[in-house]
Amino acid sequence: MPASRVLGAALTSFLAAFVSGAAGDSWSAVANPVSTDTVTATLLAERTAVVPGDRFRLGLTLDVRDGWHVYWQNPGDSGLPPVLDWTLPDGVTVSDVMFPIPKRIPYGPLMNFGYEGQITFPLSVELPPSIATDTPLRFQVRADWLVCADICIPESAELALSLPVSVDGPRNDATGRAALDAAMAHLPRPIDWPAQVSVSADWITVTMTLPEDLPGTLHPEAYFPLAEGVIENAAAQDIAIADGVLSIGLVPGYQAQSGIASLDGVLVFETGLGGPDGRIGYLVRPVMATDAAGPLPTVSGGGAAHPNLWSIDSAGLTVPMALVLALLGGILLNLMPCVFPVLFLKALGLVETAQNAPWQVRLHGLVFAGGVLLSFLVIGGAWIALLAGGASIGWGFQLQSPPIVAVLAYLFLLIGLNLSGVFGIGTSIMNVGTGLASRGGYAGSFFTGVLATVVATPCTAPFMGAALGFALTQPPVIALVVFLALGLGMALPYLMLSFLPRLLRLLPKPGAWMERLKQALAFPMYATAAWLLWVLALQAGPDGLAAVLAGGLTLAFAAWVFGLTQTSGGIARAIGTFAALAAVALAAGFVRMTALTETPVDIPGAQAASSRSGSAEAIAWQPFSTQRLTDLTQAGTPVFVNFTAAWCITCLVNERMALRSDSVIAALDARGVVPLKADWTRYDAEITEALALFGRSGVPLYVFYPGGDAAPVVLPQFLTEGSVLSVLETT
Amino acid sequence: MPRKTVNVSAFVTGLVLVAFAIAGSSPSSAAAAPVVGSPAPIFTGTDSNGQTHSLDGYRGKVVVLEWTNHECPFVSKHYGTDNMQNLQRWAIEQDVVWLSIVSSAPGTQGYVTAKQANAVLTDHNAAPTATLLDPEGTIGRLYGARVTPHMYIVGSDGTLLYMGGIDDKPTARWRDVETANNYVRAALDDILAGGAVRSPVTRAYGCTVKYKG
Repeated sequence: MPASRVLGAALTSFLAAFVSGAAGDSWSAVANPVSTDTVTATLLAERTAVVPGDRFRLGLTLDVRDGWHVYWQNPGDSGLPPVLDWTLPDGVTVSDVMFPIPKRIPYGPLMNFGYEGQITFPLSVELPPSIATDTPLRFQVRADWLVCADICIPESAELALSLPVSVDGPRNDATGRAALDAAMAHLPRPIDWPAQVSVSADWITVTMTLPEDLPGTLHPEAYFPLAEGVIENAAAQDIAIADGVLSIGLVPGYQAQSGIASLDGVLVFETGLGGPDGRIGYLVRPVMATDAAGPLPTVSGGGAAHPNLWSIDSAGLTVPMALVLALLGGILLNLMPCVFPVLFLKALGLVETAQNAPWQVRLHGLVFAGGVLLSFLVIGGAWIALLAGGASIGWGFQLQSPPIVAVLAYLFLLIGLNLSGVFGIGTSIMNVGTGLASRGGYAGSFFTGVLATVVATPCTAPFMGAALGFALTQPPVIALVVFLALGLGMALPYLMLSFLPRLLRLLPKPGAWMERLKQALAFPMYATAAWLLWVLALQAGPDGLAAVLAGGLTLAFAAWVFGLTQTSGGIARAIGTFAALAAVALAAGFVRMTALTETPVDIPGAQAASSRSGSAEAIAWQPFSTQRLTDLTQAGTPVFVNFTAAWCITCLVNERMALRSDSVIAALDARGVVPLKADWTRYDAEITEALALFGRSGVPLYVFYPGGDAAPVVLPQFLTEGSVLSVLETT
Repeated sequence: MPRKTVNVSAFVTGLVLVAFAIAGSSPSSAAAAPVVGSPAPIFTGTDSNGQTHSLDGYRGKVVVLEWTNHECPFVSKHYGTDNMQNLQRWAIEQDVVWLSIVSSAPGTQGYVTAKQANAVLTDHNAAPTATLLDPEGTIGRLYGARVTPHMYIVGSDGTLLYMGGIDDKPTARWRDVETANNYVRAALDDILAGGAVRSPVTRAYGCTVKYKG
């Protein structure tokens, strides 16, 4: 425990107690501005002299120290908005403060809405026509605010300013006016776009039709409800635009338990054009849909011809299209190197069982499909549950966790050893129990389905990205249906084989070659294990890698001992089994170690690893941050963003095949493009959010920002040299 | 031959599920609120004297959960004015169990060792049934506790009856305690009178719970 930090916290809270204690009493030293340790508060006006009946603006500026923040009207999971208590001359009225558009400020698993840096809250003042002109008007206010970093300090100040009443016209204060104008530009703008909201038990959807003249460069950032507790503040928001309809998916908050009255809120866009802090907000007052349980307004208007199927943007998808894509993605999963050996062997198994009755073969097929579908439901359900719980995660999240990567590496190692013939679990039972064969066979088919799904998790097939991105924006039921379609696609080839025995005849007759083939197919398994270990090295550093290698070695040794003894009886077999169990326990211990060493050693990262291993001519990627991207695009610099991860095979293939070509590098140089790499190998909230902006839940994603006002271009998920060059040269 | 793969698969599928369980805590899964009227999430925690308390063990009694952080100014408001201690003493006289819970992670504001927790109890002259130490934030996340103080009331049948703030004056000003409507007192009155809680979900205000990672 860092002692200095505790000491600092204690000191700060002592100061806090002092400040609040002092402020709680009748401490009324009035000044303007007033500075505390963390905030300088200033009362400002746009006038230096006012007239009777005048209307003008005042403002409260809070200049907040770096690393601290103050709160919006709905502060989110904790916090309080500033409160003003005015002492005014008779007849003078002031409005409530107006709140500029907030930012999302995460803290651990919680989310606050507020402001960092300097913020001005404007308000309007109205003077009665009858006001006396002989004495200046004194505007005195007690401002209470809560300022927080890791810790919170309630602070307050008594501020006052006096304005003379003039008879020959008001006089403006240039500085005050400029500050208030800037603050007003930050206020959410009222709109008349038609907007609706529908609320179900676990999902809120706000939809609105965007006006046609809305600049195309706008990117929706987040929705901020005015009322507290109506949404789960930290949950990822699924915002998508398609055919001029913007939809926002939100997770209901605790207030949903006692009923949500209104979802009025502020929709914030990044302008993509600069402007005041590059953001603009609109005040949305959506109408509550009467049939809360009714179908959600999904984005319509599919059928628009997409020039390139590979680059389908999930935002433009309809449910049927997403299902078709998921189905195709599932079918293609069969060809991925991690899945192919398992399923190919399963298919060869059909040759052996061809003498069985056709109904038995079909039942095997159905049971296998059931195993696949159930596994996809479980994984999809877990993902959706985590999202609903507020975790901001995308597809592939399972590979962001070193323990899961480690166990998958073990799994591939064991399957490989099994294929190599080192051991076979259950061989002896098989030899004995002929009667059990048919029953055990069905359980076997089921678990092969489960296994196939588990080994498929590191893989992303084409089409999957768009379908899963779409699933993200949908209510859980539809999202699960997308997962099911994916599973169905994966099970489909095997199902077809089992239902159309004629196809089986196309396969060669069983024989010794099958054993050789089996042994050969062990190597894709070892390759996958090796790749997972490389991913793990990037996540958990050399120590984590060493632990898992030790675990793998133990497992391999135990598998060998087990294989040696499993056909013998008595003590030898007991020893083999014991060795295997001990090895599994030990390996699990090593996995646990990777979880503990999860704070990775700051090795150069996946980006360096992938670009250094190749030619010296590789693209000089710079690390991605939203800030950096905004800065560059606002400066008119073209930017190429590569959303990637070490565990994403497609990403690595793209980098090797397309992005490392000399002509692409030359084209990037020629246009002065800054290449940014968003490395998602480890969990990164900022990148997850950036992906969500493009309706994606995972990598790869390639986006080219031509610079200036031009809209960004999303490149296909499978890159070719030609496709990259054409985007770089034509936009 | 396919059956071999099959049996290996059943075995390793189990292994993978174990790994998912180990890795379950990452990435950060945020706090989602439990539902009033549903069974309150079951937990077991260790208090500042090393005693174990499980919610199940208090079946038959009304249980108040109070998230606290003695360095938080909002908590100070309620302890500095004796507001919280008075409520604790009154509740315990009514045979209510009161568990104060500290979910601050080590190195963050409000984190206490068992010894420090007892010192805080003495210093505050506080009277909860026990102070549970939850440095991993397990119980806090289970309940979606967002701030200190964040208050929950579990009925004698294990149903969550109330969640929200201590009162309706979301300030750190000590004098506001006098004029505030204490939601927890009101909810306990309703429960002890055998009626339904009139305001079962209210706004909790205070300092953010300093969760680990």
